[in-house]
Amino acid sequence: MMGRVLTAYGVEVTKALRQRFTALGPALVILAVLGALPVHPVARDGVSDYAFVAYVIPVALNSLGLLLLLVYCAGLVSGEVADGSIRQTLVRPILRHEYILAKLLLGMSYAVLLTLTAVITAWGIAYIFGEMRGVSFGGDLVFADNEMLATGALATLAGLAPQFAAVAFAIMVSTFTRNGATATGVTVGLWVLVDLVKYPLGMAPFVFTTYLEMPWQVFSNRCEAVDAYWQPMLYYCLACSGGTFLVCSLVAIVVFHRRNFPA
Amino acid sequence: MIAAVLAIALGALAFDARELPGIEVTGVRPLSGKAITNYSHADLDGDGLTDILLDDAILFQRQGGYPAASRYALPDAGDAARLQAWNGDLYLWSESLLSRYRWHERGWERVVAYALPRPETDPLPAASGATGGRRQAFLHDFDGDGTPEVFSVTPEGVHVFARHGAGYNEAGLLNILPGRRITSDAVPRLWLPEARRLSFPVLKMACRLVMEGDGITVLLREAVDSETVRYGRTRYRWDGEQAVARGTETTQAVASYLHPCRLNDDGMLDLAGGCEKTSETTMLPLPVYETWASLDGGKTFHVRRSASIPGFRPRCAFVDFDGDGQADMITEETGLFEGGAREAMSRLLTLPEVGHTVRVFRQQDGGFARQPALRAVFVIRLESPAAAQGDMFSRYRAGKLVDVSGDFDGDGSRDLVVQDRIDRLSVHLVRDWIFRSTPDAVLSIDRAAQFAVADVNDDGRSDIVLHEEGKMSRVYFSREEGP
Repeated sequence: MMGRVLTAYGVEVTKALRQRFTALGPALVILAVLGALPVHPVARDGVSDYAFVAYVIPVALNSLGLLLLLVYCAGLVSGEVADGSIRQTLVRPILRHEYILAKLLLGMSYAVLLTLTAVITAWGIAYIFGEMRGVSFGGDLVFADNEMLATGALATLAGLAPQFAAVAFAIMVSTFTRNGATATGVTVGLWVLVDLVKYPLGMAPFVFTTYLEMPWQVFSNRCEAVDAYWQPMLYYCLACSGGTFLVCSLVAIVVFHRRNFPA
Repeated sequence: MIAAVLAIALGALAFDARELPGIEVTGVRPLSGKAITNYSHADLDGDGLTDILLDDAILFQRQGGYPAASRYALPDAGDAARLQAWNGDLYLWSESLLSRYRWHERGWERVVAYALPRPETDPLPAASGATGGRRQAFLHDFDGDGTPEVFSVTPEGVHVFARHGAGYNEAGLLNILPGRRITSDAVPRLWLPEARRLSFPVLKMACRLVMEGDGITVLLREAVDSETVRYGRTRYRWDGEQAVARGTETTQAVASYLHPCRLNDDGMLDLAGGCEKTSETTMLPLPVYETWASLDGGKTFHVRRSASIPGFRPRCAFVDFDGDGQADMITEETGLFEGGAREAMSRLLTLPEVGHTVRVFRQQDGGFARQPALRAVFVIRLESPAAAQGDMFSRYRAGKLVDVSGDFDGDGSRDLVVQDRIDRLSVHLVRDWIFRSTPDAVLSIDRAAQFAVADVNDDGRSDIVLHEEGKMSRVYFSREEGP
């Protein structure tokens, strides 16, 4: 099965590379990072510039980047349903759940692409034009450069978990709908709606969007020499994101299995 | 008057509620954790139990409480008289007479009176309140002979009166106070004609006097510029006639939000305080509260930063949490802005509660531990989302909902009390640095009531005092067992 999934994934990547939107996402993320420079200048002034990284990544990745990710993934299945190419795909020797798994892999790859674009651009600018010498406060070196690097790396990895959940969520919505615009609207609308009601209904700890910026919060706090801890947030983040990913993926597969695609 | 016993006993902790008119606890001193009260403790009836001395009355302790029948007026010596308890006697110093009273059975008996006019420039006692009022100290035993000397602080210096034979005579005027300086820098206006004024320069002198043993310490704050100050400490010894300087030490120029205090017993002048800064790592201009401490007169600093809300001041930043004689650092952090700007906005607009974290950094090895020895997390219900700026949020922002200064079980380790609902106080006992999120006692309170913590009956266990405008103060005395 994995062989067919990987083959399908390869085909999906080839298709994605031909689409303009695929390149638009990273380009917009880079622009967002560069656009933050006038607001938060970077300079070799003896002050470490981790604050720039902490400032710009949540903006580029968890606000704009998430929106791009949701829009991109919401169109992955519904787009092919809308233009009828899904029927052509399904006559090939690939099972429906393998098709959805390949789409999930593609969405996750896009999440990784956006994340790496934001992280590499932000760190690159900070390293080239600024200084990264650890976080000092009150004359003490609170966090050394390698500690901040490790924190940034862990934040990057942990931050992928809720993004993968977002991918599965968008693909699940995509399997419900018949065209990309509807899927995008429903996905983004649900995201906004859930974010509005999750706190009053007391379900915020169980919604993956709560944890989108949490890993970077640790990095951000450490930049400010504010005490910050991975536990128990990281466990909640991984558990909630993993659970959402599994549920949404299963629902997507079940729904996709039961759907007819008449001409 | 005495309310029915309200006992909410979970485990070994219980509280008895009593109404005590006139008692006020307005807060705690942020750098020491000591309660700010409008009363003093003294045992004036010699029964071994601590009584409460107010500006106008004495409350004798009877069977663990202060019933209305044990409240007596003080001897009449005029409103301007100062009063202080000393070795079981009550001293009253009116404008011309120093009187010593002793409680006998059901009344005051004047033991002795000395003709002792107060210096003309001795300021009148401040109005009754938590700042000292009539109870501002005027007795101190400098020479250690068991008989107190009388002192009076005036602009000229410290007058010391010592007992000689049958009376008190002036033994010396200690010229140890700093000189007065002109503080008014108003530029006279020449125009408009009706705005022309002759303004007289305002002279001001401010210092802190600390009397310990045979010594007097003068603590002076000197402004270096608009943002930095320097503190000078001069110690004097009273030799029976005059003050002999023992030495002067001056701190480094430090930020003006740092104040002199005693965080340990190493004899060095300590400095502590806090200030609010703005975060540079988020889209929203979020405040970060910095708690600063120096144990060596401003040469090195220990700083802890915590996410805060605008205008937030922790109720108490330094307290000897574990009873080892050294003050530990307390930081309080809000969870309102956790998870980034988007989550913060959602929470501000829709969530009627806030997560709050208290951390305790132990003082050890000449500094403060890098990692907190205690981390306590609470959820406080605000009644309405923070953006609505409700009453509960206002109290939260003013730092009135969390107190770490009390020791309710008397084990020497401080405990935590949190007003986590508008009508509820939760008491969390801390033992061996272990905090349990389940409260050890819960008190139902009126919605308008505000709480303070103090050991009112001096039994080694802190009590909770509730204030409500227009109502008598109610004290919840902590005790060991349930009813």
